[in-house]
Amino acid sequence: MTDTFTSSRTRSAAGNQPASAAENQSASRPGDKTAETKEPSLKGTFIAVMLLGGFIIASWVLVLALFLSRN
Amino acid sequence: MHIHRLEKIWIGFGLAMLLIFLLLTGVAAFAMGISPPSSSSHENMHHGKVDPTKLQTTAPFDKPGLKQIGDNEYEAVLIAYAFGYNPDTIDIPHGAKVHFIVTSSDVVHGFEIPGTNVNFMAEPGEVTELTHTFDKAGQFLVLCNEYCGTGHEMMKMTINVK
Repeated sequence: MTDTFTSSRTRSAAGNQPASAAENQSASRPGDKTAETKEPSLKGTFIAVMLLGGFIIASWVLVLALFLSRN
Repeated sequence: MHIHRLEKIWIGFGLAMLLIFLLLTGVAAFAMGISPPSSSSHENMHHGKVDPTKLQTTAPFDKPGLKQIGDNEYEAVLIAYAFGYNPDTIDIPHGAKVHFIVTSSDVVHGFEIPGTNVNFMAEPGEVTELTHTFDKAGQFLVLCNEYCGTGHEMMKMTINVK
């Protein structure tokens, strides 16, 4: 891996046209969504968290209603 | 540090829920005066402590029973013992506000009126207080819900609301 990179850099520095084009292809262009900027989808986790939150709120309200009705 | 947009939403949701619950608990405790049934403020008791061996000579437990303290407002001084309550029956007028002042002369007992919020422990040496308004007429059963010995299941008293 390092060998290929080094040799491509060397050739590029020497003004070798095809090597330079290959380098441009592998490098990230501005505005391009490559691996480092792409976020994992957390939609399922979000729904699960909201369901759990809803359950906690509902049980809290239920216990409060029970307390008030028995007061 | 990068945080996912949805992650930010659920962190905010969790923090908001925690804040609301804490705020409501604070309002209930400090503004509405809701507290656990303990720490008696009775004039004759020192921070809700009482000597369980000297109840017969310690006020107000020397005269257990119902005492009117205001307009349809009563104080019910009760002693829980193995296996009963002294007195074992009290008659309360309909709609009366009753301040229960309860202690135990021996072991830990329970004091529960099923279907109401009256449910606390009667501990030897400690004075437990709880206020309840009896809006419904009828006969209410008081049960011991802390296992106190062989006669535990027989331990009860009656409250008549007329």
